[in-house]
Amino acid sequence: MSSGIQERSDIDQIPVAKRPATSPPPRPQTWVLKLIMAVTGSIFVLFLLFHLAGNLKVYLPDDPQGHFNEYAHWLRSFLSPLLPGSTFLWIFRGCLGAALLLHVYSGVTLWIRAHRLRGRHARKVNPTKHHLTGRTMLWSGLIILAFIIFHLLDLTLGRVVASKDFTGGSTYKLENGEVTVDAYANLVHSFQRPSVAIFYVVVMVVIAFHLSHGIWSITNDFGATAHRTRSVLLILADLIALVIVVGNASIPLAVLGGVITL
Amino acid sequence: MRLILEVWRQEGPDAEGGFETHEILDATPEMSLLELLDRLNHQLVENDQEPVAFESDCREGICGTCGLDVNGVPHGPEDNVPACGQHVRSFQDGQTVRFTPFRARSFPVIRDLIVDRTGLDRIIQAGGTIAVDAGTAPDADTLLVTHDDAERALDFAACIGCGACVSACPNGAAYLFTGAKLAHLALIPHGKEERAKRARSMIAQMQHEFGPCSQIGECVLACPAEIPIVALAVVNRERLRAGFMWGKAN
Amino acid sequence: MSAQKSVKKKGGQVALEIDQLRAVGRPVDGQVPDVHPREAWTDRKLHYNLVNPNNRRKFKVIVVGTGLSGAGAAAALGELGYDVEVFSFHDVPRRAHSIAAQGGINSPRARKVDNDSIDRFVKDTVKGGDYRGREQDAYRLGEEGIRVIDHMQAIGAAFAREYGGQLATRSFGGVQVSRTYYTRGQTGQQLELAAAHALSRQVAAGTCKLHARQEMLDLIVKDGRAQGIVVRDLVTGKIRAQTAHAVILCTGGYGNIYYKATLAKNSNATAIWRAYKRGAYFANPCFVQIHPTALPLMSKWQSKKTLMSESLRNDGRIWAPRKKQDDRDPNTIPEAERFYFLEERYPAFGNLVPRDVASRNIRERIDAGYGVGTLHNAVYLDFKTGIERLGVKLIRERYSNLFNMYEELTGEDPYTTPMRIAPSVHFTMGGLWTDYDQMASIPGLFIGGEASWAYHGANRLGANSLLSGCVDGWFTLPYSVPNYLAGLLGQSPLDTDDQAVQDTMRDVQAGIDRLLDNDGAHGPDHFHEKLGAIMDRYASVSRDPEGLATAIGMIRELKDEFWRDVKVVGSGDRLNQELETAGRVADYLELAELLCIDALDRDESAGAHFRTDHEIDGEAARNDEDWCFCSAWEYPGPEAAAKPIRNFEPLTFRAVPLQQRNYK
Repeated sequence: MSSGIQERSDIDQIPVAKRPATSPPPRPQTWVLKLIMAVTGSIFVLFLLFHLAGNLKVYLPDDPQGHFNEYAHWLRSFLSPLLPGSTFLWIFRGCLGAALLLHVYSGVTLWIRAHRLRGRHARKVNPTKHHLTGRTMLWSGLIILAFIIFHLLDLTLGRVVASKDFTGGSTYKLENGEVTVDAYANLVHSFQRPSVAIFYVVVMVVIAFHLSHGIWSITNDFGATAHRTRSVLLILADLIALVIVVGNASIPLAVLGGVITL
Repeated sequence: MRLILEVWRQEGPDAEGGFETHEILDATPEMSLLELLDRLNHQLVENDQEPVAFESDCREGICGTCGLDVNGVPHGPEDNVPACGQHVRSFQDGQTVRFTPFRARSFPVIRDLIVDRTGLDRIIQAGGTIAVDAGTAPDADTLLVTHDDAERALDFAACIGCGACVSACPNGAAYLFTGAKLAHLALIPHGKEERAKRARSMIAQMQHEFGPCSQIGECVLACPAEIPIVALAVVNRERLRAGFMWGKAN
Repeated sequence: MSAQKSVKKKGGQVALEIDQLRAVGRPVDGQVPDVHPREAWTDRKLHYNLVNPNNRRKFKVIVVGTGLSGAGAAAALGELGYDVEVFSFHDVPRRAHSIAAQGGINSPRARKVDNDSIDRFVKDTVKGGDYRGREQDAYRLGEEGIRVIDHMQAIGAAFAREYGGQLATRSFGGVQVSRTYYTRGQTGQQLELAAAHALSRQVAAGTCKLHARQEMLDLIVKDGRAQGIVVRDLVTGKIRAQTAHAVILCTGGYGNIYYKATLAKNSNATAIWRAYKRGAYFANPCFVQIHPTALPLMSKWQSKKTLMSESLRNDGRIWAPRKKQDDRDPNTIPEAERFYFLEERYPAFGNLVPRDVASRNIRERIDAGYGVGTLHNAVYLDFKTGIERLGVKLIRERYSNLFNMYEELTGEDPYTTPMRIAPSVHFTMGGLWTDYDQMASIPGLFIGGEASWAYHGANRLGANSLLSGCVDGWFTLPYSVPNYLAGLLGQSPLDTDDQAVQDTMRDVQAGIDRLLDNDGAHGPDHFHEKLGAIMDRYASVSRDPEGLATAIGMIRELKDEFWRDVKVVGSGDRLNQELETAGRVADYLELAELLCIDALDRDESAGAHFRTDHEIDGEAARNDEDWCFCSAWEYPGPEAAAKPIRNFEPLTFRAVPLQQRNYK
């Protein structure tokens, strides 16, 4: 039954529509986090392309071992003697590390916000590409994070997951007589373990997924609204993802298949 | 046609809620999904049961009042069509049709399939307006707008404010809605005067109640007004632009 | 006037019956300035009292409804600094049904060399309305209509533009100039969004307080002044009162009494009807516009009809097969077997004749057995010639959203198959009577938009409704309401403790309890559907005295049946859509009776009110000698035997001399 007439004392006010918040929005603001994601993401895309270029030296026809190790050495001693020793490498690593921390922090924060604001009812999954790649960004990101740790242990530090033949101590003599780490040998030793090689290949596919949606997101997060720019970047996103996965995943497969040997 | 209807019933915002199953024996293909609910309600009332509360008004796709999820999709199975324009012909005889309220934490259930979508209007109130008082506008013909700008502004201004974009979004984001308003107002002469101020305040309010955008594009599939996906980027463009303006209105 | 001597009059028993149904009252004064109509608005504004800016916030004004006129009035008064309380039964202001208007908004800006002017606009409007509206109102509409475009453009309506960057126009039914400004087929949406956003700006600024999901159920009248309203909270069911210095009703038309009309499902007559029952006069309720181009009914459960904009008649040609029951694919019907009846019968205006003429002709074809579609209840609206002449691209640019809507609703592609259209109730020219200041017969009660009767007479021209909504809200009420308020300086709004407030709230509660406690068998929709059938049959495009008398009897029976047999499930203390509907249907039943009495009383044909006993060669035959006035109906009180009192406001025409309409 109805509520009945209110007595004067408890006539309450007619509800007034809620007005916009006067407090500042939650910090860091979502758009700032998205911008951080985009800037750091762009750094990683460039890094990956640069990294791939180096990796592909294993396919050089004569003396790939020499070329690859020479490149590894150049990386360590870049801008020397302007900067002493491997200073540049450490700056480079520092920047990448900071970018990684920011990227992961922003990504997780955004994910938590998004998850909190999603409603309760089940949703039909649309089989569109951006649905598959976009909705799995956190998971592909975490896999990539785990992979980065694995990769550093495997081929940079030579700990725990590295092959028993890791030659951190052993050296390779360059043509100009300088002596450097034999990165090429480490790579071949590691990929000769089939499970590791497969793991690398799988992760490359995950990275491709992450990149394909990530680069598309970067386009939007930087506010690119021009039709042509967006069309080009939409294609470029898939193209870069494809190049990364084909280029990188081919190396462990080539080692397994005996194309690349010591 | 025979259809099984699973309908979400919920007494109020804090009530638990659950599904109720009903059978409609005389559905016809040309019925809209709202008319299917009308049919169900008629049946319920005749049996002294309370009808399912759901919202609708113009029933021609322009007012944006109708809004419910059908089998987990905002408005219904056809892309870019509001619930009033979705038809029973999309389903087969004997199929189950499940009605749930728009899904988003920012849209609390009021009753059954009715949700509170006023959060979207608070974004408008925050700054989606043009500060021109009645009678003070200059002659509209003296401000030239190119044909293409007017048409593009209309593409974005077509938003019916139904909230399907938020419901479709796995993140509960309102970027498509906000972007459409920002894009529309950035394209017309008077709207440009407070463009940066508007972007700051609208986007701030948006962040109070709605989630971040992951450019998945679900919203674009659901949007009955076919707002282009570029609206998502417009939000970021306008905010970045406002950032460069250092506190200026434009 | 000589032609009218040939009008058939059918016996005296009708005159007898009408006297049993109504009482004749007194002349009412429209408070029109006694100057040439062209000068009236200037003269009136000059004499209006003003309120000092510092005093404005001391005046509380209630605005009910947030369509074009409501949102406009609220925002404009808010901008001026008044304390505005805005009520809407929607969740947000922008849902109001103004949003569904499609074709455009007229404005006599007269930029082209097609010889348009304010005078010509007035002539078109008055003539289109068949001389049953106020000439002076039409002048105000035209005069303020010019800056309406500037204002709506400035607050966000993206009007269509020519390639030169100027505003684009198109032509509409009933006129021979191009003065309709538009935004594709969604002009109402753009204007409503702009107005609602302007209101949002005032809501954010705090000058307008928005009360959403509150339905007005009664008007509080004390000391002969409107001093507040009683509302029901649609979510919690609470009945509360809001008092103020003045009340503005912008609650739209009552076309939904026809059950399946083009109006939104929630559009209703409750606010204006309850104001009528508190003493506001109801003007010309029988003037109901039947829109010629709506989608026909196609199935039993179809919940409403959908309008297809009149603008489609610019490039679409209306025809019916020359053969009865012709079920062939329309594209295979040769030209010789098509009857382009509007073009043939009205060569000067062709497909662009006014709405009432088009509707009647279409209905005539359908009733004569030439209808198309499975139910043979429609005629064709064909774009083949238009597409050949202008190309698909241009047609798409002009009408794409309408074509999409048609395809969504019917599953047919109008680019290749002609649309099927049929007349449907669409707009009500009648409404609460107002004087020249938009004030009802209760001082302090102002009416805007379709809820009032102004401007359109017996028939509204296409694209004049958006104009009247905007002009009322933005450029008339903000002048006339302060004039009234100025006299109340120093008085505070009625205390909610006041006996008048408490009594009104008690009445509302009693009405709700009566519905909830009724132990019937059918939901309110059942009765609404029956009422619609009666109205469609007897009070639609053409009416006759016998039919109307029959209808009145049937409506009275239905009203008794309603109160015997209505069932409202659920309770009153929460969201209950059945209860909302029941209250509205109860009001429709009463209003429908008044509508039929008015139609029976008005012993002439005028515009949309076409009486078969008053026609010349199939055209409406006015009787200016006896009926050149506005009927302003007065509520006689609740006693069953009480007859509504028909007061009248005589209409004079100085700028547009009385003449028979002719669109041939």
